[in-house]
Amino acid sequence: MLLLLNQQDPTWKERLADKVSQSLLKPFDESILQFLHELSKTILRDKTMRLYPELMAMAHWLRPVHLKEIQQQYARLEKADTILLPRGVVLHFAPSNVDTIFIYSWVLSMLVGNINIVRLSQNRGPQIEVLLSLLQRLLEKDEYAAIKSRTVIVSYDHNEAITAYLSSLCQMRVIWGGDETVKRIRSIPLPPAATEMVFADRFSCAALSAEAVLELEDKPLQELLRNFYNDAFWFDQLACSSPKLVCWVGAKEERIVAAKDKFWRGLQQIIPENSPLKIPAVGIKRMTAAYHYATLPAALQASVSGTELPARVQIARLEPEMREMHCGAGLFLELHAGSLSELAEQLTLKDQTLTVFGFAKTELVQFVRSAPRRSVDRIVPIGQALDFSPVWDGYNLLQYFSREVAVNVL
Amino acid sequence: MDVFFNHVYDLDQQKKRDYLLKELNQTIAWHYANSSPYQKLLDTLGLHKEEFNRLDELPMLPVQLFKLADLYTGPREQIIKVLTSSGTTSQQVSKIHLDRETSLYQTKALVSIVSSFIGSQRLPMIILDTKSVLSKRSSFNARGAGILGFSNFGRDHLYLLDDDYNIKWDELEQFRAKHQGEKILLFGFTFVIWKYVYQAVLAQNKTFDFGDSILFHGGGWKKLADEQVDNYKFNELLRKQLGIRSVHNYYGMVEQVGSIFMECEQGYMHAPSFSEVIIRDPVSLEVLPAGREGLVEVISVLPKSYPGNVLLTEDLGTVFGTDTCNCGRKGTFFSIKGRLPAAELRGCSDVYAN
Repeated sequence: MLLLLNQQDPTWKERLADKVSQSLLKPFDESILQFLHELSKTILRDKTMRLYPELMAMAHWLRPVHLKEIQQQYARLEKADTILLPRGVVLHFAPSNVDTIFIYSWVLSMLVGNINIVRLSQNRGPQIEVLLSLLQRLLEKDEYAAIKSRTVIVSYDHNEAITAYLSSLCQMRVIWGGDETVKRIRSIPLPPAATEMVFADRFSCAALSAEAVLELEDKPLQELLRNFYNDAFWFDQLACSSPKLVCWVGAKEERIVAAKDKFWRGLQQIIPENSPLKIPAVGIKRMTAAYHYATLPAALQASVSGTELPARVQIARLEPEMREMHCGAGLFLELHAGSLSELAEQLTLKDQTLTVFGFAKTELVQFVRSAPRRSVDRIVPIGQALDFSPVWDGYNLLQYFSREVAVNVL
Repeated sequence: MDVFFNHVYDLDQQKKRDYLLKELNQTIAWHYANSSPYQKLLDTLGLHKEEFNRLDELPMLPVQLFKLADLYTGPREQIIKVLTSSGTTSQQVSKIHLDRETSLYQTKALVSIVSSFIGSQRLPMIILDTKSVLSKRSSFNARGAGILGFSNFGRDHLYLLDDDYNIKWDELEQFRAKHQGEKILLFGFTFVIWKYVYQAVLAQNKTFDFGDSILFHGGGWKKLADEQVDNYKFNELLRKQLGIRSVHNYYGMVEQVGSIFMECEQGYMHAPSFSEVIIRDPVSLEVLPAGREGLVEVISVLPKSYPGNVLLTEDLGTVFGTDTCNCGRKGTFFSIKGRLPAAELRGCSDVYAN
């Protein structure tokens, strides 16, 4: 399944040539839907998969009912005088560590009919290894031969020659960040007719209404906490959409303080003992980053108790360099604001997701309109930060993975 | 400060604590008043106090903070050099700002430690490294600083390795002939010695006898631990294969140059008068009693031009006692086990930036 490429072995080029010259499948071809359905089913029914919540979430995302919704979204893109067709060969560079994102990128591209080459990082998490062996098993089946012959998953050490060769085969290249990767791969040429989609480093925030948190009874509070925990901790707070700044919105300072106390006290109780973020080396990393923030003029107050989880630093304003200083690992910047517009003023195009709790839709629409330039690409309730959507960072992937052919004849 | 340098291993613990506390209270107040990021840090964390009553109360900084923040105390013009930790270009390195005073204290500290082991006479010296480490003055790193610091204790220096890390056998023979019967001082970095001296000698099937000789080495065990070599075994192998009579590993870091913890004849690291070691629980950071393994906190009175007096390291160690080591030296004695086991975090992290 996983093709390990290196320059000493020239045979991989031949194996690849066969795949990229296959005919293209129809968008949402039955064999694709069936394959994804079986993948989803296999994961959801396997109890050992519960160790990997991201894979469970992915399997959930791949259920037929959800893929049907995606198909409807796709159908809406087609107009009377345009036909959507696959682009051809799409080359995906998965990020080193948000393990499962390559699946979403691959699946959406596969659904609209493309042949796919996916480059995985050399250091892969255990869930990817589990997933790869599962994919391998499924793709051995005769009924999925069409997919197998149109999919290549590769891995290799940083090697410009290999990247250049793969790039020469594709009609579209997708680079899942961060900035340094985008810069390096972008400098490697594409065929003149090929196009590219890149995902740079992003930063994400959560906003909570202090009053709404204070009103919560125990049960809905627990639900909010679990949702926040999933958003922030699944990818060790390192996914682009994991909240790193929490903005507390309230008219009165003492109400904000009370809401924070209720929230963080509750959160601490639901963090499992075996959380990877409780490993001492991670604790020291978190403490070091918190201390770094504490040296900045905009720092107000830090709650750092030993290397314990989480660490928090209250700041007077969010400054550009604070985004790059963040190291994940369970560290939260906090901002107190009288209204959402105080947060809006501080956002930049670096900011991707805003997860929210306790605001009316009209307030949020107002917020989006008042936010500067092209900041914030999505606003979702707390608990959905990591849900992958076919519209990501402002791109509609279904559209980008397709080419539109105009048939403008009466 | 002179009381420390004059009594490097012979201050009673009670007296030592009083001296340290007094000096450190003054030093921390000095940093607080003259380094605005440090002042901001203590205020933000609520760690500022007019006076601290115990050494384990002093506000400690995680040592990696010096990789992230540019911390120095007093006017920038007073800084005469910036030390950096060794590391490849892609890694972040610590930046340690030194003024004349701190630099002088570092020298005095090292002299007081080393001369208590070899006396004050300069010995013929072999540096188990290549001279090219020193030539890149722009990137003046820990390795270069260590070599220069220790070079002061020797004369007629021989750099044993050429620029390609090969042993210069002919020059070594000449050196030995010239210094027949004299005590020889050797210095190097643990991993360099292991890889380019010990293993090279082994591969060429040579044994060697440096005669009456003493070796100081430091710089960490991370890579050696991967090869399953511990400190004891390393010292033993060097004695056997190279005939070095006495081998002393030391524990130290670029963030506190000068106050190194030298291994005694009994195999324990010793805190000299001007520094202290405290072991803490890796999660709660509570102080642990002797005999329990935990995170190592190092305290030194030397740094005046940067707020690095009290540092929480990422190393694990165990304190065995205070003032009672059989070697006769006073002070806290301990051992170092190595780094905290690292944990790789996941995330949208850059494939290339790592």
